[in-house]
Amino acid sequence: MKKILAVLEKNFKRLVRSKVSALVIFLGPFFLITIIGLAFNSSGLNNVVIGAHAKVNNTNIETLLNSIRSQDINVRMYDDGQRCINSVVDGDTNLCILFPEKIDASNKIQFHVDYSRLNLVFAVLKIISAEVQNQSSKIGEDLTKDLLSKVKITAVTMKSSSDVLDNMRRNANALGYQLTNITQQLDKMSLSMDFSKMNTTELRNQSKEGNKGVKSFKASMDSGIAKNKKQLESLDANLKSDRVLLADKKDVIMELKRNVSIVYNNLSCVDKTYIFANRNASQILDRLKQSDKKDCALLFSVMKVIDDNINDLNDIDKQMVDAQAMITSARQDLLDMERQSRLVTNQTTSGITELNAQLDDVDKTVADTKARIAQLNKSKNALKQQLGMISGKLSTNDQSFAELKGNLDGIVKNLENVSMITPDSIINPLATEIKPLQKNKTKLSYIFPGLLVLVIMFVSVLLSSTLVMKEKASKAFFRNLISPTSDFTFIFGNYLTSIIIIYVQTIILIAIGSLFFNVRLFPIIDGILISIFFIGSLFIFLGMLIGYMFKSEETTTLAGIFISCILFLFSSMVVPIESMQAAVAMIAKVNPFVLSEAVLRQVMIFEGSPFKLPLLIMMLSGYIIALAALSFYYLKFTKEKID
Amino acid sequence: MVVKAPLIEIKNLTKEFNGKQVLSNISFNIMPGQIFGIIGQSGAGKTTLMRTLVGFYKADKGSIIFRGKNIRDDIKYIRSIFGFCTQENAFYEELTVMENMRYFGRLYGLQNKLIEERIEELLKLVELFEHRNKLATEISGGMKRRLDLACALIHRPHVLILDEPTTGLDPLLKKHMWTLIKRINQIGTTIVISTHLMEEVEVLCNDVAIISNGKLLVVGTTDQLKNWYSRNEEIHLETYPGRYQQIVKALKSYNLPIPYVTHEGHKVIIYTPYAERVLHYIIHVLEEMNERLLDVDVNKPSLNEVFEALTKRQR
Ligand SMILES: Nc1ncnc2c1ncn2[C@@H]1O[C@H](COP(=O)(O)OP(=O)(O)OP(=O)(O)O)[C@@H](O)[C@H]1O
Ligand SMILES: [Mg+2]
Repeated sequence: MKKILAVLEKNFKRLVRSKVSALVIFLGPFFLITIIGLAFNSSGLNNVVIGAHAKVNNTNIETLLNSIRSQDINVRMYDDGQRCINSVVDGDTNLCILFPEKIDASNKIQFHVDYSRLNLVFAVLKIISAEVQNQSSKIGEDLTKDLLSKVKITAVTMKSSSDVLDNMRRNANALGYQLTNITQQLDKMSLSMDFSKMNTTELRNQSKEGNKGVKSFKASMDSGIAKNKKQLESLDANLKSDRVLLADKKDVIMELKRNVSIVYNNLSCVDKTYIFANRNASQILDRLKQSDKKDCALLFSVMKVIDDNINDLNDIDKQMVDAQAMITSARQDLLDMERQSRLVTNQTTSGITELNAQLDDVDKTVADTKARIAQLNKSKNALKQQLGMISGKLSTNDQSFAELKGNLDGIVKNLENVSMITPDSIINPLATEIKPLQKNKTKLSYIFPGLLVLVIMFVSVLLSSTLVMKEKASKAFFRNLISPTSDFTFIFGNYLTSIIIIYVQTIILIAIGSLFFNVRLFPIIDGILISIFFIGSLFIFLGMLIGYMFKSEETTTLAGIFISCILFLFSSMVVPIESMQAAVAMIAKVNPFVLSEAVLRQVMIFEGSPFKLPLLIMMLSGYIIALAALSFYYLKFTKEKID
Repeated sequence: MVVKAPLIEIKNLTKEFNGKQVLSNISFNIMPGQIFGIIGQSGAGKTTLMRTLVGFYKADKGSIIFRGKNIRDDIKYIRSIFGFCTQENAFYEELTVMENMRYFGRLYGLQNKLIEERIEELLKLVELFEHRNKLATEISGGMKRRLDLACALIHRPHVLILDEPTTGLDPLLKKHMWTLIKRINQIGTTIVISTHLMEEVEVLCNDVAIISNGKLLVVGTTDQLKNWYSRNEEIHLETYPGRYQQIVKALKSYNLPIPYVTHEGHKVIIYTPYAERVLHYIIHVLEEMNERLLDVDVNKPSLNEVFEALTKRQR
């Protein structure tokens, strides 16, 4: 351990004191990352042009495109979808978005991307995807808002319907009372008409004794007629006022019916509007739908009862009208009788035969009237019966109204609960806000992992190979090797030197990234540091191996750069793996650079632990062990080569 | 006389690089407490031999035995008691003198307090204490050599290996380094030193091995070598058409003492303790063989020249 520390101290002193290597190793990466960072951060996506084609232009698409434009991406609209796709092929645009006529679960937004193009496409794609997601949530939100406002209206209508129902119950009760009144009045009305005074027999007998009985006949006739007339008039008046009352009640019931039918329509309207695929929203609305069906049925039956009531009232009205007509004809009869009795009295001077004929008329009219009154009485009784029946019905209706009101109030409460929910809680019931994927990431964030691996790779390979080469080239190397010190000490000492420098540089790079380029990294620093251990170790041992394998400083540096470049070229930084030839892609998949980048991506972009990719970590570890073993082997081999 | 057991035994050592034999079948012993010289020309395989000695290179054939045990058996122990001062300066230019020493001290697993003590002691020994906070790049070449020596000594090695420690130093610094090495040896450190300078061997070493082209030529004490080769004189001879093999054969047939013959360009170099007599016979032989004499020269060789002659012969 003391020996390793000695090696470390010596390495650092040597690195710091040889100014050129210190400059290159310490400052090089900063320049690199600063230049790349500035390039990507300020104008990175300004050159990016995307094409878009929409079958129908709507505000949703417009806002989406505007939000993409706000990310410094140029958007070019195409009238023809195919031309939009071709523009990607021709390289005029970096990608093409095709919007369907209607954006929903089945009609998806299509992205046409040329993967062989610059890697920036991925960055652009990510930004746009985030925007689209954001936008589609907004669209859903709008629709839900609409739905909820309808629910709210229904709730309000139902509430007023419930009020109306209350009113109606009160009115129905009043109607029942009224009907009882009418019945009582009808009872009180003794339509037992007095025809005793309209007896022609006495006059016929008297006529044999002259005209002395005519006067008294007329008087008795007139008084009987007047009395009956009065009775009929009062009955008529009563019927009239009752009819007005009933008409009022009918109006109230009609209004209730109207309200109920509005509620009915609104409930089924809620059913139709609901089109969301969102699971939780659908759950809420399924519940609504079920209760809606139940209440619809209830409302339907209520409407039928109301219709029955209206029909009953119409029946009563008709009967009353009939009764009124009968009263009118009875009154006409009485008027006839009056006229006839006047005729009888006027005929006193004329012959008995004529008088008898006229008396026959009177008798006939009286008989008619009698029959009519009997008829009227009968219909009065029928009316009475009808009224009684309606009264009974009304009291049963009152019960079902009470039930309806209870249900209605229940629905209103349900609906009110639904309308209390905010739209975004239906869209995104679990989250409290709509959060687009990778919200706080800047464009640089997406390439930062690759950039970091690039820097770590070059620095590690060059640093450790230079370290080894400087050691080998140093005359002091021999003195190290003849000391009683194991090879492990030297290799581990060199490794430690390199990894410390890598860590220092990484932290500074992360600081630069965080401070100047707004790449959010410090919260995930532990994951990054763990990843850097694997990545740095791998490339350090690669560099060491190169350092031990090659002879001169120049060839070592060249080999280091060459191998690093190869690894870089076969990575997705330059050409995406997806667009490589199969054989090349196979190589790329085991490329340490690609593996390293994947691990850092996992950590930096998805903010997960590097151990979530155990296979990659195992592969990296395998490389590290293999390279370290080879380094040991070559160090032993190197001893023979020292002069 | 007490026969001391050798500290290091090198047995039939062979080392190849990419199929090319850099060391072939080398065997010799190093006694404890001595300064052992390995002398050879550039590319002879000195560094390779020394690196194999500390177990840095693995021998293809043969073995290195330290105190009766193969160094491969406990390489960590070997490393902790061997010090190696390299031909180049094996320390970090970007670190200061102190930092370098502290670093290597820690690599040898020493306690911090001990390291600080040793640093002061060693830097004073190599006279770098005033420069301890200077970067290694900022000190002079001579200082660098001494810093490397100090680094090699931080863990107080039992055996110190010095790979051409004086190469590139001016005569004054060379002498200074020699005294340093002698002082280190005096405190009981066995030293193995490589050089291509005979002078250095003469000054420092007890025993010396001469290697050339990966092969061991001679091992012995410096005195033995000197006595052996300094009796000879060199006769540089150039003739036409230059059938040197026959000439030497003819000369030898007169029973003349000619221990070594080497070639240099169009010339043949004949080593002999009796140059005048041999010259006499050369004239005679040339006449007989109808060879035309182009040039002849007689030199008295130094140890250095002996060594060069020896190693050249191997080419
Ligand atoms: N690591 C090696 N790989 C291949 N060949 C090597 C290696 N080290 C040394 N050699 C070869 O082995 C031979 C001996 O080299 P070595 O460094 O041991 O010579 P030397 O005696 O130390 O030379 P000098 O005096 O120049 O230091 C040379 O030909 C050299 O090219
Ligand atoms: Mg050498």
